[in-house]
Amino acid sequence: MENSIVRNIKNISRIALYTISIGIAAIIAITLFQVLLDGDDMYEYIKDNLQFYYFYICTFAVFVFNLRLATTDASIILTFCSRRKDYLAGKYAVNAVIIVILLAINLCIDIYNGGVKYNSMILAVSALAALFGFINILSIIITKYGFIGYIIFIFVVSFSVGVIAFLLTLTMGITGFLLTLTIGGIDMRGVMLAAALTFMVISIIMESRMVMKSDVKR
Amino acid sequence: MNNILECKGITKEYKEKKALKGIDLTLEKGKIYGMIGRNGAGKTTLLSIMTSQSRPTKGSVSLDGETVWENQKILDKMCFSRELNQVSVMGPNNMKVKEYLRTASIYFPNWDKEMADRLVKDFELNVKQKISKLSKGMMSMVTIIVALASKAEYTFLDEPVAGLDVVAREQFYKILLEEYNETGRTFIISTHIIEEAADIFEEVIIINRGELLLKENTQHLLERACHVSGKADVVDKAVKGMEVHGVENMGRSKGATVLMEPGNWIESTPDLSVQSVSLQNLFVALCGEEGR
Amino acid sequence: MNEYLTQEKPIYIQISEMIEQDILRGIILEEERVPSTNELAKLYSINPATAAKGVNMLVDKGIMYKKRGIGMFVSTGAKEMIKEKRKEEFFDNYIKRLLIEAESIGIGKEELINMIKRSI
Repeated sequence: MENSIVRNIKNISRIALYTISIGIAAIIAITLFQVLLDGDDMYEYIKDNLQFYYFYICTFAVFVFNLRLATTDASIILTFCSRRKDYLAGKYAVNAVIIVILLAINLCIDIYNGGVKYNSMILAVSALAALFGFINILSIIITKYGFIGYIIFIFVVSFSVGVIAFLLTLTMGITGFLLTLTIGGIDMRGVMLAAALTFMVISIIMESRMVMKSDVKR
Repeated sequence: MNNILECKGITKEYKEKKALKGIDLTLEKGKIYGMIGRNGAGKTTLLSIMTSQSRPTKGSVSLDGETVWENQKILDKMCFSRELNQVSVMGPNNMKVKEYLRTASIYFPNWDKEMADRLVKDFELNVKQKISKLSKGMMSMVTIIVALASKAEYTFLDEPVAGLDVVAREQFYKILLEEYNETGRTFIISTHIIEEAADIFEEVIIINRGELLLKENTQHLLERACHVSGKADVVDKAVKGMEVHGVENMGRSKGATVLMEPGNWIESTPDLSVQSVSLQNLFVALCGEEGR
Repeated sequence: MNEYLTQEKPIYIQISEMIEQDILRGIILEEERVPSTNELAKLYSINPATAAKGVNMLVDKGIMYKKRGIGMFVSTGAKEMIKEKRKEEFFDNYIKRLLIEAESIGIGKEELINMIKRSI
């Protein structure tokens, strides 16, 4: 019976590798193109834009990957008589591994750039947790309300994020400022971390409940 | 170990309607069952519930006493091959056939790759195509390949011949029977195309408006069905006390389909024609009565 | 009239035979109107041309006649005509086949006659 979780881990890992490889291939192609155009040195170029590359990989590994699972693979896996529990276990296991690897990469980047930065770690963990939470909520919306729900949700969120970011930059300058802020004795970093983790956990619980109750339609 | 798949009081309610209304059904291992019913009768819903794809609002499905829901031991023995269709942009239909089959091979413990490859060749399928780009017939073939190559003990096929032309359908029945003869697997097949398939179903299950109308050995059922016609009063006298369906009148003439108690028979006379009934005719008489 | 059509004989022949049978059974009486070609086509879900072919066979034999603008009617004496026709066909349709079957399974003349005597 353990076979079933193993099957899911095998299958979902394969999907993850596939999705991430495509992302990497795409970004390398674009980089090469950019480098050839500007006549820059590729190594220097990547070094200068490391943060961007890292952000991009994170998006692919967490966002695009889980989006694909939700829209395509989840119903196929359940149609092929896998247990819902095992699908969820596989999905979360693979995501856990991915997130750990991404955090490790972030650590490596920091070390390369001069040293372990406490703030950077907290920011990375919060960001990844929030991103994962966000894609879980998105999965729920897609499953319940279909493609249209997805579009509407993306619009709403992008709009809100845009507005908030704009307001923040107006009143507080750069977002990095937040990390050094301490309001009334409470460390904002801790609050941000706790909020992101809570959000992630809640999204996991909600998605699990939905999957356990769902009917496979397609 | 009786190998009995049992549905007890299966009910499925949606906000707008009741798709299944308390179905009790017992299936034995090693037979080919045909599930027939009109569009929207609830066949797909019932098959989904039997294979843990959907959850019943009330009732339960069990195999040898163990509930099917989320039960890996039992799910490993099952395969549900549902109708693929050209659904949404983001759906499962963006996958290539090759990958779909590859995924199937991971999840069905008894997957027979040789058989799958052989069938792909026989059906002349291009596995590199995306599912959404396939023709209706090709999609049906994919579901058939998954069902057969899964080598699952209990295989459920939902409208497997829906997109196939008559030649391909005949091919399918042949392959199905070959596989059944070789392995004795249990098949439960839902279909609209009744007459062709009547010969391959050992037992027929008729679902009408969310209810189980009957489940019976096909030949026994047809033996106790007949169609009588003649002058209206002669017909009425002959069918008195019997289960009558599909009554039609024209002038003084009357025709009716009758289901008799096993062992009974109606004699034909100069005034009363008694004909045997095909499964399709019987089905139309039984399930076509609404809206008259 | 409300019989199922079968695969055994051409449809138009079945149509004409069914009408004949209804006449014999008194379901349609002499000088009564017979359902039109279109009505028959609808009842049996067949092409009107096929129904027409069956009906015309009976008109040609004089069993039915057309009243212009009104429809098709059963001729007087149609019942007798049909019975005569069927008596002529009886030997070919039934007796001949009976004899062939009896011969193929070895039922002798005496035995066959006894069987018939017992059943009548």
